[in-house]
Amino acid sequence: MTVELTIDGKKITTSEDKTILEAARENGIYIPTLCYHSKLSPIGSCRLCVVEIEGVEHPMASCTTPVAPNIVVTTKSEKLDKIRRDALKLMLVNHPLDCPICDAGGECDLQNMVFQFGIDQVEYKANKVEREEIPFSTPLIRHWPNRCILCGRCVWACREITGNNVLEIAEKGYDSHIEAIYPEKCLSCGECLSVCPVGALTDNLSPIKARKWQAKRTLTTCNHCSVGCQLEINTFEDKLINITTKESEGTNNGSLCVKGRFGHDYIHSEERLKQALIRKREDLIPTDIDEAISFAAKKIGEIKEKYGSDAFAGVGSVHLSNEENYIFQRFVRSVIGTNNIDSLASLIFEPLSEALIPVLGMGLMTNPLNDLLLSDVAIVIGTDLDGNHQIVANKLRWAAYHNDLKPVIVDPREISLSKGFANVWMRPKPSTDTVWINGLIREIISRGLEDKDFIKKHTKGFESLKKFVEQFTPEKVEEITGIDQKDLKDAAQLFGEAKAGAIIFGSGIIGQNDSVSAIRSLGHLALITGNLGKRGGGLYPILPRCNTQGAWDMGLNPLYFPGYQPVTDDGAIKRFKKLWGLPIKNEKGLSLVDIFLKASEGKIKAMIIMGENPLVTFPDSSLVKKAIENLEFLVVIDSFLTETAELADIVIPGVTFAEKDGTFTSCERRIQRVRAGLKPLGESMADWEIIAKISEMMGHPMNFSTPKDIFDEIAKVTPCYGNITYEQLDEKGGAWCYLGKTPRLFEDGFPGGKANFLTDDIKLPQKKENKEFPISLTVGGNFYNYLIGSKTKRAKGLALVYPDNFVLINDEDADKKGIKDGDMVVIKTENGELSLPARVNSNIIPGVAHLKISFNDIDVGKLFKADKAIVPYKIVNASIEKA
Amino acid sequence: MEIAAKTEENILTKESMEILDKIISRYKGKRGALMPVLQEAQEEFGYLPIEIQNYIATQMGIPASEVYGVVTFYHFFTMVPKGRHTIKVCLGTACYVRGGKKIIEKLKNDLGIDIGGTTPDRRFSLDVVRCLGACGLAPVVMVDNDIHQGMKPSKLDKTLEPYK
Repeated sequence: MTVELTIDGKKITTSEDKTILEAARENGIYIPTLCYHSKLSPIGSCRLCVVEIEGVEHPMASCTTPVAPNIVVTTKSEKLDKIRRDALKLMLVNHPLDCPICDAGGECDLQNMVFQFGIDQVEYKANKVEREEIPFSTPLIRHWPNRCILCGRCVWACREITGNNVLEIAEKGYDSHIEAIYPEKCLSCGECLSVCPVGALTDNLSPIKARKWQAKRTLTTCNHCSVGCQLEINTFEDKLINITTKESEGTNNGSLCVKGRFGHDYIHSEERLKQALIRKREDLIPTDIDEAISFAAKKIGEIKEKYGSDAFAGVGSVHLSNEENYIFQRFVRSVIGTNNIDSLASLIFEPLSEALIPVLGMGLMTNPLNDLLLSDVAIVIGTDLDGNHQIVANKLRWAAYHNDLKPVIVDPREISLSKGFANVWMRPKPSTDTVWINGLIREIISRGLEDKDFIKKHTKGFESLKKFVEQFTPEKVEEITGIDQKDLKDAAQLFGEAKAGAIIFGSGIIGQNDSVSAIRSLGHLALITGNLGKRGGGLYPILPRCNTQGAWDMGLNPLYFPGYQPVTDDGAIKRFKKLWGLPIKNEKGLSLVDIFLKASEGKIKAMIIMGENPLVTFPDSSLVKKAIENLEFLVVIDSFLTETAELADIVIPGVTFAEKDGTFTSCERRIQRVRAGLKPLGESMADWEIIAKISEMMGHPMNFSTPKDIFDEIAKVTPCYGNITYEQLDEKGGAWCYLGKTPRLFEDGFPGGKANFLTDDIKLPQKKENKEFPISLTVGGNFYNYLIGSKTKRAKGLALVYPDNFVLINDEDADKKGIKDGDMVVIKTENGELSLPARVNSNIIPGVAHLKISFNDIDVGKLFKADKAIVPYKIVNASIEKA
Repeated sequence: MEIAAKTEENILTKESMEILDKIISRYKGKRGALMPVLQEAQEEFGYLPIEIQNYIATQMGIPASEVYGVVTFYHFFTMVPKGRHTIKVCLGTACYVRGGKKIIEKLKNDLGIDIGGTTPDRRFSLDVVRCLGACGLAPVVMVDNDIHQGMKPSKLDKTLEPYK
């Protein structure tokens, strides 16, 4: 319904759900505000936005007053001016004028308002209240209670955006103050900090400060997880001051998680490599970067000469840019001449592709993340979103708060979203997901809640699916998975009835045993409920690293050129041969696992590892160690001397994301720009420049002078990145790859006409009792420390919040072994053992334990074994004993 | 500033949960139910420690921080256990000028507690009120429901004696 009203003599038509303030702003009419924030519900505490309405005795706060038909509103008058000035003056009674030493000076809303109203003195002689300084909920933020004007924005943000309800305005009158009531719930995301209009909350991290107008602000893409948040790197005299956001940019809509906001100080770590290193006898000795590059080029040439191209392998990176990964595979495929190239992206995409391509035609995130705001049910499986992808969790909370989204959480662990937030929380035993997913499908069909039209129009093989799932009765599901029958039935009713249901899944599914069967079953679930090609529906595989998607797309893969063109396809070979001007091998290469297996047998002689630390990040560290020890020559390009780099013959210093240009592709298939805000440190260079130089030294100059040149070539040869220009990425804030007309896949139907229900290859878990290793040990990342390391403490702020690793054990299991909270324990698997402290509680189901992989000093990788293409990197059978 | 008082014993027992459940169930689905629920809970337990607030919040689906905000906002609610007897000293204008301030100082000193506090033996809680509407009797002290008029510091001991 639309409403007509008059504001300042201007006739305005707007919708009835708007407030007067919103209607005025839409029409370019300025009303001063202080507590209002466009991301939050109106607070109505500051009284600056008061307006007069004809026929209403007292002025009203325009931020909280809805529009009404035919009202006549005045926004500027002497009376209003006086009210606003008085409101400001009353704030100044308590607010200290310590602007010269305040972080917010120059970007303080109160300062701006006082300046705008020209208030030069305060006549009120009221007593100034000295508020006590009490600890804030996170050490990353400093609270200045006397600067607080009690606008309530931080409280609202903590409630509505992060949903954690840590903060509240406590007490009343003179005593009222902001207090962290439940600090243990704080995620340290800094949402409160980002909405504070004054300097009452400040960044407690960077010792370097600069005023807004002195700082250089560079908009770029975060390099932590795969969500692809847009953030600004603020620098002064080539040093990072802090990270801010723009509400208008990116899927994060101005929000960030703790890593995005506070996890970038590693850029200035003392441990950054400023020089190249070369091995002389036992030691790595600093050397000139050009010398290192020419030595690497010479040595690679020699090894190629002596053993042939296939004695060589390249490992690319899931956190380097598309341009770097593209140029790397071009170098390995053309100059060296082998398809032995891969990255950690394949641990994710191998199972995704194998599961979903036969069913849907593509194994990718189907919808943009913002579609979650439109969903009415979301199933979240095997991922602790708050721990790793908080921005996705924020979207779910927004939808729950504003749109009545009903979450179904599936996780054996208690996570922040399970208790209190979830409508249904199911806790399956590990590696039984295929069973409950098919049980859910059976329940939905038996209740007649499947989308019959969709199934008829868009799918094939439904009858065989129906027959297949018959065996998964709720009783059987409960017996195998431990999920309560009622929970399964409730979940089926919710998801079956949903107008738009989303399925979000993470490494808990992708990295488990029989992951292909479980993921394929999820594909079936989305199909029977008609949730594909639909707003608010969709399948959302959550990828770990910032450019996991891009690394896969760029052909860091032994089977495909960029854009999934098979390396055995004659047409593709011809095209790339012509473009690159060198012969291309018509043969599949070795996958990552095979590269390490062959190297450990001495069959791979040399390797370039670019921007990856497989000794820590690959699930089988013993294998990687053996492989590297057997190499004749290893080049590592990295910005730190990582555990892997320590074993190299040449280490060439690369740069961090803050020092280079390029693009990342997020998990929602969005290509976004990375922009340099800082100069490269010491002699370090962008990884793409290093590869181009090695190529040039080997006699094959590539003729790229900027990342833009590389992107232009990518767009030319990569079908799914076609028709996108670098300029477009700048102008439109990114572009969607794999596109038809919209960012949503399958809106125009499925590739090949219809989607398929395929049940033949679905494997069911084998019930096996493992007497020696009875515990299912699951591992996960954690955004507080992933790859930044607690030993090295390169990101010092994050290490404050989450300093050490531990293994989480169920209290009943611990009791049997006499393990108490805090005891040191020894974890053993078939492949190795390690010891660390235990945390004992009931947050995890019996028979399961959980551990973080991301602490560099705890070598979790040695517990795992990698001997096949699809590695169950999330779960392993183990025993846990008191040390 | 009144920070969450430490409860002496575990107040959130099975019985107290049942009592709270009963109170909450009477207000199920009603808007603005938090205030009466807190009121009844305080009548029941004498005060609203953080454990009780948390339980009410979870059962009513309200953020616990919001409950805390309400409890600390209203003077009526308290997070400190109350004594068996509540002393309210009037500091309205008439009582103030006739020596109410002296009375409060003496009480604070004798009982060894601040305004809003409770003696360790839980005998007395001390509060201040702004006018009891008995200005002719100033200065006035109210103990539980009894009004004591024309108070003087020297009369206090005797006045409080009957309240065991």
